[in-house]
Formats: sequence, C-alpha cells, structure tokens
Amino acid sequence: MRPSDELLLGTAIGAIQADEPDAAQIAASAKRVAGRLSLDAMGDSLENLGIEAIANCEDVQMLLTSYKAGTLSSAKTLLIEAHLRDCGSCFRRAQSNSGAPAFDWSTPKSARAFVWRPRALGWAVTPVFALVICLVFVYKAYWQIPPGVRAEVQSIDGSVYRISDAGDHRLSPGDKLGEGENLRTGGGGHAVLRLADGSTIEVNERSVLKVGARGHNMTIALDNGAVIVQAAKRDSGHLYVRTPDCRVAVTGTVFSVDSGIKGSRVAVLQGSVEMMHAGVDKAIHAGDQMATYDSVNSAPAADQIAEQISWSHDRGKYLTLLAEFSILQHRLERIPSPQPRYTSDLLERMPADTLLYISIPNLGDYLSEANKVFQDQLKQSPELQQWWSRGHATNSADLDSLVDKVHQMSQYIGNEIVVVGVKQANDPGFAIVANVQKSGLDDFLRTQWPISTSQLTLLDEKSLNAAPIPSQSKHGGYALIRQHEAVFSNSIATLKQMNAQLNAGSSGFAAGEFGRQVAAAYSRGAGVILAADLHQMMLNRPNLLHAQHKGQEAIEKSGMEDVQYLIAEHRETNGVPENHLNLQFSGTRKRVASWLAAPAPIGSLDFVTPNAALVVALLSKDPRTIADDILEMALPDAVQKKSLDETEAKLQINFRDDLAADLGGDFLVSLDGPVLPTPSWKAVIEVRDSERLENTLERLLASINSQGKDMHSIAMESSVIGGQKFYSLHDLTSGRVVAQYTFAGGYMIVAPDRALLIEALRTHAGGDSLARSTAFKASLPKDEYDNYSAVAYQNLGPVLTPLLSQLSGESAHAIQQLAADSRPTTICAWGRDTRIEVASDSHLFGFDFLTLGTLMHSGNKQANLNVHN
Amino acid sequence: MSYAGKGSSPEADISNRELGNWLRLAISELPSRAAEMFTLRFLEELGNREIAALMGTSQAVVAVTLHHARSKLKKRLRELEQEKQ
Repeated sequence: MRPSDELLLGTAIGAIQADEPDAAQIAASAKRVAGRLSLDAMGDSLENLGIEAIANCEDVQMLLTSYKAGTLSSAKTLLIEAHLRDCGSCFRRAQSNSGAPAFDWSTPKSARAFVWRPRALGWAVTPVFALVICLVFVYKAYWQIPPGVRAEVQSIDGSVYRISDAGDHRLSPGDKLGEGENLRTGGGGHAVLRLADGSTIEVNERSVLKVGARGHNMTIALDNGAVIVQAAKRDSGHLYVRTPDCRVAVTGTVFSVDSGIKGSRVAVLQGSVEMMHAGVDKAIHAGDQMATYDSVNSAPAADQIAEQISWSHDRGKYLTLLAEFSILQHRLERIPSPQPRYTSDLLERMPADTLLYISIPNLGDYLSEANKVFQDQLKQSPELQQWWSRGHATNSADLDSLVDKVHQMSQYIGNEIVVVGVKQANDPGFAIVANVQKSGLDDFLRTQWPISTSQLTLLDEKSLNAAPIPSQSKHGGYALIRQHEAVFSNSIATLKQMNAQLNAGSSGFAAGEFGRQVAAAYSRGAGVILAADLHQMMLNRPNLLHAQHKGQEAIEKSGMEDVQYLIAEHRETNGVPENHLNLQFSGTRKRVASWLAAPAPIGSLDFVTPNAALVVALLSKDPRTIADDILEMALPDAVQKKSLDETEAKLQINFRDDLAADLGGDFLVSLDGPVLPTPSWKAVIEVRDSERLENTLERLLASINSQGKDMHSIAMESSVIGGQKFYSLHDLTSGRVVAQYTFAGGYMIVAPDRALLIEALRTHAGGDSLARSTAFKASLPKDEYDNYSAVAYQNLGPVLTPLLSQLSGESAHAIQQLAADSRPTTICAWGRDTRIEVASDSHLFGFDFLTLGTLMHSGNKQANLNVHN
Repeated sequence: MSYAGKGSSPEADISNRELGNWLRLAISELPSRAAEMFTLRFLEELGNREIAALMGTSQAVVAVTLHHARSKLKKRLRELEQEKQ
C-alpha cells in the first residue's frame, strides 16, 4: 500500500470529523428518527422534543440524571438511549454514574426447547444402569461400613481407656470397641485385643489406636505407641495398620509397628508385609525391619527387632519364631533361582517362518528346592509347625505332593519352554515346545498328571503321521512326545509341521534376521522373551492389510509398513523387574513412526510439580515436518487440498508456516493438582517465537469469530501480573473461561485457570519440579541413558487425596485407602534412527493387586467377620 | 487532486467534503461490524479497549478487524479517486 493511501484515508477521516451538520440536516435527521420511532403517534411534536436541547453530548449528559430517575418523557428517553448506543463517552458517563451497565450487551441466548426422545433415552439407560451396578459393587467392597463391633478386649494390665464422644471410660476384659472408638493405654498399661477378623493386637503402654472397617478391609489407626499384630489369614480383604506417616498392608503374618515422634518403624516377625511410605511401596520380609526416618543404629536387624518387641508378654515366642523364619529365609535365599539363559538350542530348530517366539524358564527345580527347604525346616521346628497348622488350610503333605508332580514333570524337560507361532495356509498355528531330557514323559503324563484323556491326546510320531487333519481344532489339544522334544498344540496340522521341522534339524531360523534378534535377546540374559515378526504377520494377514485399498494406503503413508520386529524382554534382578521393548523398523523411521525424536532433555517436565498424578511428555521432530506428514496422509487428492487452502484462506493463516513453524518439539500434558471443581490439567508446549505465535492465535481467533453466528464467539483478554503477561480465552456465548495461557522460558503453558499457570511458573523458577524429585528419579529405569524421548508417569495418590475434602467422612476414608494403595509408575521411551525402545522398572499401573484381588473375591464369604454381627 | 487540512481554503474544503463523502460510501460497503468498529475508533476516537467492551469482544479482535478495515478503505478511496480522474 502506498504512503499516499494512508494520507488519503487520514484526510478523509479528518474531513468527516470536521464536517459539522447544519441546522437543516439536524432537523431532517430528527424527523427521520422521530418517524422511525413513531413519535408522532405518541403525541409529541418535533418542537416538543426539545431538539435544540439535545444537540450534543453535553445536553445528553445533563439529562442523564433525569433519564436515570425515569422522569423524562418517553420520547426523550428513547433519544437518550439511541445516543448512548452511538456515543462511547456518554455511555461511559452513564455507566460510571450508575455503577452498573446501562445496557445488556451480552449475546442473547437462544431458548432450547426440550425434545422428548424415548429412543435416545433407551440407549442412555443401559450404560447408566451398568454404571450404577458398578458403583454399588465398588461401594460394597470399599466404602460400606459393616455393622457390629470392631474389637474385643481379651486381657488388660494397668490402665486402659476407651475414648469416645461420650467421654473416657476405663476398659475391662470382655469390653468391646466400636467403629472409630479410640483405645488409650496409660503408663505401664498393656492390652491384648481380638479383632473382628480373628487377628490379635498386643498394645504397649502409652499407645492410642482405633479400629475401623470398610468393605472387606480393616484398618488399625495407630496414632502413637507400639503394637504387635498377629494377622489372621483372610479369604478377602486386607488388614492395614496406618500410622501418621506410613501404612502397612498384610494378610496372615506377625509384625510390630512403633509410631513415635521421629516417625514409624515396622519389624516383621513372620511372613512379609508391604509398607507404603512417601508414595513408595516396599516389601519387608521376616527378620527385617524398616523405619520412615533415617536411623544410625548399626546393630544387626535381629537385635534391633528383639529390642523393638522386648515389651511384649509373648516376646519369647516371637523371638523363637523370628529365629526360625530368619533361618528359613536365609536358606531360601541360597536356592539358586533360574539362571538367565544366554543361548537356546530350541531356537535354531524352530521353523524358518516362525512369526512369534516366546521363551519362559523351567521353574520346576526352583519350586522343588524351595519346597524341600520349607518342609525340612517345618520338620525341625515345632514353632513353625504350630504356625503352619494355625494359619493354613492346606495340608503340608498336599503341598508337597503338588510341588513334587510339577517338579517331576519339569525333570523330563529342559531349562526352557518355548511358545511359537508359525505361518500356515489360513490362520497361524501355535505350539509349545520343550526339550525332553529323559524318556518316560508320555507315561508320566498318562499316569501321574491330573489331566483326563478327553482334554489332552497323547501322540507319538507314528500316530501323528497317521492322524488326519480335522476340520476344526480340538478342545484341549494334543501332546506329541518325541524322543528329544515334547510339543503341545491344539492343531494337528501345526504338530505335523513342527514334527517335520524337528526331524529336519536346523531350520536356519536362528541365522535369519528375525532369529538373530532373538539370539541377541538371549545374549543379554533371558528371563522371559517375546519376539514377533510384525512385518511378516501383517503380510500374512491379508484381511488386515488388503481389506480396503484405502486402509492399505493409510498404513503405507503412515510409515508403519516399515515396522519389522517387536522384541520384548522381562527379567527380575533381586525382585526388581526390568522390562524392555524394542520396536524395530526396516530402515530409517518415516512419517508417524518417525515423530518421536531422539533422546534429549525434556524441559517441559520442569513446569510439573512432584505431586502430579499423570504426566505424558514427549519430544517430537520438527512440527513443520509433522504438519507435512499429516497433510500428505490426510489430503491424498487435489480436491481435499483445495478445501484446505480455502479453509486457510478463510482463517487467514497457514497451518504449517504460521502455526507449526512457531512450535518447538517438546510437548507435555499432565493432571497436576486438584480434580475438583475443575480437573487441573496442564499443557506445556515448546515455542520458537512466542510473539509470532501470539499474533497467529489472535488472527485465528478473529477469523473464527467472523465466520458466522452459529459458532461460539471466543474473546481473548490479556493482563499483566507481576510482570508476567497472562492471556485468557472467554467463550462469550456460554460466558465461561475456556483456558488461560502464558509464555515463559520458551514454553507456552496452558491451563484452565491462572492459579495453575502461576504454580507452574513457580515450580519452573524454584526448581522443585517432578523431574528433579527423588521419587520420580527412583522410578526411572536403571540404564546407561541420561535422556529420554518420552516419559509417561502416573501416581494416583495425589489425585484421590484432595477428593477427601469434597466427600463425607465415610467416603473420604475409602478414597484415602484407594489413594494409599497406588504406586508411581514410570515408562520411558527412546526414539532411535531405526527403532523405538521402551523400558520400565515399575510394576504395571502401580495398583496394589492384593486390593484389586479383594474386589475379585468379593463373593467370598466373610467367614472371619463373625464378630461384626 | 490535492488534499489539505481543515479550513485551509474554500476549494480545499469542498475537496475534503468530497473526500469525506467517499469515505462514508466506502464505510457503508464494509461489513456492518467492521464499519461500526472503524467509526467508533476513528470518528468517535474511542480506544480499542473501550470498543472491545462496547461490542463484547477482545482487543485483539478489534485490532485485527480495524487493520483489515483500514486496508479495504484505503484501497476503495484510491479506486474512487481514480474513477474521478
């Protein structure tokens, strides 16, 4: 645009501003206004309107007081209102005087007529009904308060009191404690309680505790003092001991809990417990103890435990049992667990067209040795025999027999069991293969193994060759016992294929590309290996790929057609799981498969607090390239491309150059804060040019708003607080704030409210972020890498805990328990040139599976809860 | 054609009045919302914030709309000027 154009417009504006209407024009205008307003019909003549009196803004402002008082004639009122709509300064004057808006400028809301749709209602009823059933189920398992007493006093020494809303009362043997009633032992006091589930609690002096029950679970809340708990074996639910800073979950064991000024200490005398402290769950076994605070006591654990339970009247019995368990534990620890397998002679004898290969260790020897040690110790120790006969319904001879059969069978086969999936004419065939170390497996299976012949058909090579291939696979399957191998399958055809391959010897599978990947997994030490030739699997499932030409084209364009192998490995070292997954591609990753960038520091994690419940952060390749990929995949023909061009022209932006080009490659979404009343979601996006992005967003917003009346109008407002500029997006139709955002440190932070943005900025500035928290670092996989391409983290506790403030007492306890049951989980990923690797050292999802088991077994009878009723 | 400020000469006044009429015509050809925003901003001399409050939108929307409106008006004024010549 030429400079003269600007001058032309400026002069024209000046001309209009300088152009004052003459009297005739004013009179003509007044007539037109009066005509439109039908003032003649209202009985006012033009002269009576006082046109001269309302000639300018001063006249209007002089009449504002009368206007607001309602003393003006209707004609003058209409003129004033018409002027107020046109004149900003008078409008402001009118508004400032009144303190309230003179007019309602908000968009009128259309009335929504309720339409009765019985069919739609019918569809809605089913999920609602299912939800209600689930809620009732969860309520009964977790939240329902069972009726009856919680504990009965068995014996008392010294002074022991019940503290309730009715006051303090001294307790005697035989007294009962109800839900939430506190028990306090005085100086020198000592009490033994029997809980509703049959457990007993020995309470030391100067202790305060109460017992509560929710669903199938019971909780001993120990405020301070010391207890020794003999937990009864339960069919369902758990017994928990909760102190102010930890929680102990247990079934059928004996342990001691001290709660003092410094914190809590848990010592286990029999069995094992799970102690949750500071979001970390740790197993404590018999003879071990653990505190929630740093201790400098260098004495052996057994001595420390002996000291911890020295106040108990039954300390002699406990110490004897403790010694027995300590011996048992040490003997069990000496049993060699299945060693990692570094080679496999089965590998090279698998068919060359093997598509799936799963290898698991033979655990027979380990189980047998553990059983031998246990039985031996049981024979030697009357205390152990007493413990076993009291707490376990299973006869030790039955256990011995079962383990013996498993061990006997394991002796016939080699050190590993392999599951293979092989290519066949129609569907893939599956088989379980193991080396046979000695003859007689068929006789053993026929005579000893508790499987009926209708479920498993035993075959030798001769009978297999003679067997016809049935049209349908048999329920229960077949076992082919060869001289050196045993093969199990539900398909005769697969058995024949495996038999032929085993007769032929080496297939060349191990030397092939896929086989070499499996061999490499063995070389790292195999626990469990799962390997799949995904490329061949896709090629062999024509229905998957070629059902629709478009589907095939979509896979090709997504870059996933280059996927080659999936190699997943799991091993446990000292009880710590190591999981590793490797998704390999035939060449450099392309398209969608290439979006995950190479490992690097993920800066967006610095905006997330250590209390976050859910975080997914990833580094992507250049968003412009991703935009190119999306356009290429989504717009295969010219018509759609033209449609996109038109959309971009309407919105006055170019998605690739105006939006994607302004973004970096670091993205994060999280749930970081309370979930009520609005979930505290947060998105952190790396930005290359914040000013340009801001401008793009403004243009986008303006274009969207000008598109049509049917769309919601979104308004953007900015404000500066403490030098930081915050933006908020308002939905003018609904009147609510859609989101707020700000820019800091090269990132755009988006959240539902400003408080979350300020917290994110504070976390970033203070360095007290999730990425730097000890708990988060402890949950990362132990490997040689410093950085990751993506991180997914969950910790349910901080989400559920704030709900307590929103719910009534009964629900609050149950949710607190659920929150306490969760454990943090971290999964990390690396994007390499030709592969994507994923690793985690966490237990999946971090849930307490014992608690989930409670739900699964909710149908069990509450045999031990007889004291409730 | 030359343009001058207010009250420079009778000829100039006539010329400016004509220019003012062209601008009125050009404004009438704008979308009603853009015309209203332009009038409030350049003739009533309200600020963007006040216009945004009056019209129930954001300052950013006002700024973008005014930018487009000015471009269109300049183009239209030039066309009208060329038509006269």
